[in-house]
Amino acid sequence: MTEHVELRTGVYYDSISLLRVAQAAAATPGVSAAQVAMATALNLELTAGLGFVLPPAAGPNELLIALRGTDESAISAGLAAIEAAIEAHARPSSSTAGDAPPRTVRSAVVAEPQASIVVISLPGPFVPAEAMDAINGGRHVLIFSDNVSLAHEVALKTAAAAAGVLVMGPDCGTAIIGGVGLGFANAIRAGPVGIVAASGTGAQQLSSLLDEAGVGVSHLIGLGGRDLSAAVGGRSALQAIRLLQSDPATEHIVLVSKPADPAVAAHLVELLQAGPTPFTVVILGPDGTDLTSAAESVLSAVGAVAPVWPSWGSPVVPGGRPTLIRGLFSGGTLADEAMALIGRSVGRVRSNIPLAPVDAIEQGLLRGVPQLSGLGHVVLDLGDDGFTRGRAHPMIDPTLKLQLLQDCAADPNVGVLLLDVVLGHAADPDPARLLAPAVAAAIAAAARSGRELAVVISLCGSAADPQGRDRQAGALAAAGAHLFASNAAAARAAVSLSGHSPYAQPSMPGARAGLGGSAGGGDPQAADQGPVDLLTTPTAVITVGIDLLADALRAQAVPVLTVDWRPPTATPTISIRGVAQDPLSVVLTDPRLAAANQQAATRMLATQALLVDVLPAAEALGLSPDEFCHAGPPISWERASGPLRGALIAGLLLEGLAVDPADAQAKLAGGATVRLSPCHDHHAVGPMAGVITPSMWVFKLIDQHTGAAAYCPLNEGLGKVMRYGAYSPEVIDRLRWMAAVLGPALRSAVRAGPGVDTTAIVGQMIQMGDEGHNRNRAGTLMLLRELLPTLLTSGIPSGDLAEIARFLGGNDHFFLNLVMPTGKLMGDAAADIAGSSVVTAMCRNGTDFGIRVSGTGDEWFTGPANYPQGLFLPGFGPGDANPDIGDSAITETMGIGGMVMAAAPAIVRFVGGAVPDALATTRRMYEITLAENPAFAVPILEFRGAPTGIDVTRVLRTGILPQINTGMAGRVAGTGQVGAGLVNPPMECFSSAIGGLAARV
Amino acid sequence: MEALGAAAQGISDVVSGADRTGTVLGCWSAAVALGIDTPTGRRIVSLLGLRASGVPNGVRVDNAALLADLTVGNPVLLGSRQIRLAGHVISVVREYATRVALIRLDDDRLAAARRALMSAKSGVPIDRLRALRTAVEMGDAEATAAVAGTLIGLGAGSTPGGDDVLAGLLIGWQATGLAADSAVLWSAIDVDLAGRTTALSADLLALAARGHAATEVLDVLRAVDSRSRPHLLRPALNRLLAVGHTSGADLAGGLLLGAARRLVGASR
Repeated sequence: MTEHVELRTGVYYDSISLLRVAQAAAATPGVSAAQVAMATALNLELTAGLGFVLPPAAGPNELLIALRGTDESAISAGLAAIEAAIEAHARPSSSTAGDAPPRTVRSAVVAEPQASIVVISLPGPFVPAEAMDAINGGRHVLIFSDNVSLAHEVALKTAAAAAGVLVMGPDCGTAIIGGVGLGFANAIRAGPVGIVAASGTGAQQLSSLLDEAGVGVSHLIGLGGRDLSAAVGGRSALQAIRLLQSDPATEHIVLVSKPADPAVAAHLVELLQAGPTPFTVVILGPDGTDLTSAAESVLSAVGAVAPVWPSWGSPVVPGGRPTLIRGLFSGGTLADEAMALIGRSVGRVRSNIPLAPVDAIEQGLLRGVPQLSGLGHVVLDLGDDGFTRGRAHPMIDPTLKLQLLQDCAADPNVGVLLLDVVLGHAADPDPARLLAPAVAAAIAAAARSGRELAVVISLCGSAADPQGRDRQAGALAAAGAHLFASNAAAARAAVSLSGHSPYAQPSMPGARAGLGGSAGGGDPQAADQGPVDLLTTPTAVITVGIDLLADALRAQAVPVLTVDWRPPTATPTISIRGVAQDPLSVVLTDPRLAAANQQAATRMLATQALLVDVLPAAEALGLSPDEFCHAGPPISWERASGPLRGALIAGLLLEGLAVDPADAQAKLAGGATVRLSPCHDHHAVGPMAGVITPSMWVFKLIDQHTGAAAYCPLNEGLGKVMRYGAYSPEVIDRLRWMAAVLGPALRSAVRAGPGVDTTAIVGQMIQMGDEGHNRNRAGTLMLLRELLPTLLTSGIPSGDLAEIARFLGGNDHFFLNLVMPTGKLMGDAAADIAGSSVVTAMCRNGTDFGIRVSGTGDEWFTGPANYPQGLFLPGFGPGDANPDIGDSAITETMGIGGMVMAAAPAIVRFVGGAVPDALATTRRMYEITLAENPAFAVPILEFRGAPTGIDVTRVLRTGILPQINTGMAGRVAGTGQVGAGLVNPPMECFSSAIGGLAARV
Repeated sequence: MEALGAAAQGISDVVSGADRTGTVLGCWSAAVALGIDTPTGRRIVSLLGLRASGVPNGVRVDNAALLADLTVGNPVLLGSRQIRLAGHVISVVREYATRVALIRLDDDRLAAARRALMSAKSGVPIDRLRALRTAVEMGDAEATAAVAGTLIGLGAGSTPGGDDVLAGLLIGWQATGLAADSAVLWSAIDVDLAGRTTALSADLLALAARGHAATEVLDVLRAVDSRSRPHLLRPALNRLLAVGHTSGADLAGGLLLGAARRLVGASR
């Protein structure tokens, strides 16, 4: 035997798709065991259980492939089968061809404005974030997933009611909206009955029986199993009933539920009684009604006649000697109903979902393939959570059911097997294919041991179901089964065949009917309808999670947009009030989050920056003679990179604090000569090393709305310059000229005019081929156009003027140092909003990358700065580059620079990219930002606003990092610029920021 | 080619029934009209794209290439939820509702809808619309039938504006409990239809008389129902107005005129 175990990163597939992949591998000749699954704790345990040796550091975001085969060639063939199955799984995901598929529900909602419903089938813990995206986008939600906490269910339903949309679920298996089946739903004709259901297969049975009687359904609104509990209080049921009461096409409402909280049920009945629409209430329970009687009651209420419910197979002949019944169900409600009916006739029925606790089967007997011998009458719900962990639902994968069928057939005390087969969208496309031979084999096996085994099947489905109900029934009847469209009839037949007397059914003891009041129902102020109309035929549906559900919609000719979802970046748990919690979940469920982020984005977009002055840093920032600013988060000389050290040396030389570079270096190492602090602590930003010394001149910008100020030094040009760490005499001479001539001249020009609207210039430059970080050519020319008139009339000597004109004209990046404080004003505007996860600053000091987040104030979240990837100037290579450096990532923080690469095709080659990459990059950035800034419109994207307001939670959810394009500094002090390229912040900035935010919730 | 389709409830009898033959009558850029011969006469089935209007004789198909491959005169076999034509098969996998239900009219919303409609472009001369309105508001069945006679086939396109107005009127009456008025008008214009308008338009009028309307019309009716929430009205009306060139506006015009008729009667 040979084994192969591997982990793949950067991929995600849902569990059902992977089940199919694993089945394909297992079917390969020579392969004896195959596991293909995301490496969750449960899947790792299952794989270890198969005897595989697991890789040490497997995590839930990795794909685990484990194969065991006779030899290497079998393993190779198995791997090839896996590749082929994964390839087959890959499909165009959307109707918006050409665009990258959306990564979150929020982007899907933007991409598919016609979708009224979002279907979510992700693992439970990941549901709330996507569901909130749907609710915030004004769309209705069907949550197919289970394992969503009760607290989250209540929070989602509360938010939905406030937003005027409906949440169906969690654990909502079925719905039919405007004729479109969502989840497991049957093909039901359109008609006058509206169904509100806290029972999946209960609703399927009811709607299938109505359809059989020729009565159609207007809408079937699923609620999930917990909605009618005291804790949830029927939140969705209330909305659903009000919706159906407002629908002229719904002439009769049916509320069907598993056992419900009496107070909640009573409240719903009150609402139904107050409303205008006649209704029937069916609450199932041990002493309640059965679904078939309920269907007959509804038919009578709408003036239709119940037919003889279909059955197939040979007639039922009551058994002689009493034998045991074994029920194997996929549908929980069908199992419940059968159990109640059988129990009334035969006494005690044991189950994994017992009607009374005393009838529960011990957990130990249920592990793996349940051991049922000696238990008396048994009914199992194989779709219950206990059986579906690490395994697909039995409506999709019948393996366990078939195994149990075989085991029960071999039990000499068992005389009757009762099974359900649920047809409809998303269910097994041909259940009879495996079940019919298994039924025939079971009957034959019993016969060989001298027993008669009766197999009874409850066939839940409509005549129009894609599996072909009558064809399925025919195949199963031919195998020897007795089939019934009515589950109650099937249960009674099982009782009869087992040699017991069926309990006589009183008419509808548990159903309540009513005519409704004459007035409109409910509270007129309640927000029970959404901005998007639920009760129309959905034009399109958004899905996230299991591909099977998207496929089932496509098979109904419904346009589907699927979200290319991946598990969020794992972050260390934090302890809140002594409980270890996932910080991302904590932040995402912070009720302040949405409003706080909205406020942050609004403030960023409202910022209107105006250049109002040019002045020395000592005056502007209040720097004392021994105080220097630098780019990025705080850092000491010891940890400073080459370029920062070089710039600090230049600073000492410029300020006359050192006689030569060696002296400067010694003084800086000594630590006593100057104090260092980040520019950001002074409302300032500086490109690259970002060193600002007291005598350097800075631009002063203010926000016209708030009066807040931001500062940035004057740009020195390219080549050997201080900001790249150069400190040669020409560097110092130029800085002195800038302080003596350029600064005062610009001050005169700026003060003589009304100020320069830099926000307006940024908006224009983005439309002129600049992206505002690595290309500022158009911006610089527009600045010159603004300043020239007052510059010329300022009385400056013509020689100086000529020098200034030459300097500005020769430096395409001069305007960068005005873009940056424009961005600083935007970031500062969004700062300090409690609960907001918006990034207000991104910067680097050449060693660390640091971010600040609105909700965490001045705290820095840092990680090691990455090396930019790009092109090098002649004579330089990768070994010459310093890690990422500078405050200029404020341009990306404000939504331009690398974020709008698509706006600057001329630059993509300069930073080593291609135009399609630039388009894709900018589109991707909308996944992690909160707003689109109409002031900075990107022409090639149909003038879509720049992606603005980076959201820490979205970075972690998608794993997409902000794109920065940047110059590269030489790593050796004094080298200057060595190239330009693309770089991302380290993810740990964001994963530590989420911890900071969570700690403040 | 194979395709999946969603069929209007208004043609479920034709789609699900026994096999019938027919031909392709017309091909447009985004729609194909089929003529299907049934024992009760020729019925029209409109093949459309998935995001097209929910017309009451429509089958919305998930494969646009199939529609582009059809030409006028192609023979058609339709029945048992399948449409076979030109070597292609369309399987009808679901149904969308088109049946008109009785509504509880909200006067304020009706007024708001009529105000919103005033700026919409009609495919019918204004004097004819005024004449119809006067006749309808007077409750004069004879005069209404006379004006209706002048509207049949009036206007451009495959569903002339005059027919759209009349279809809307029939639906508006049925939705507000005036099915008898609808039946009277239909009996007056039915005899006059053949040869005066397109086969497609005549079929849609006949469907309207039987109580079937486009999804967009049903949504507007639900939105002017007092039981629904008011915010539905504007988007529903916009969706209806977006149907066709002027079809949506004329359907809405007739619909609201019909819906308002009972109010006028009550006030008199």
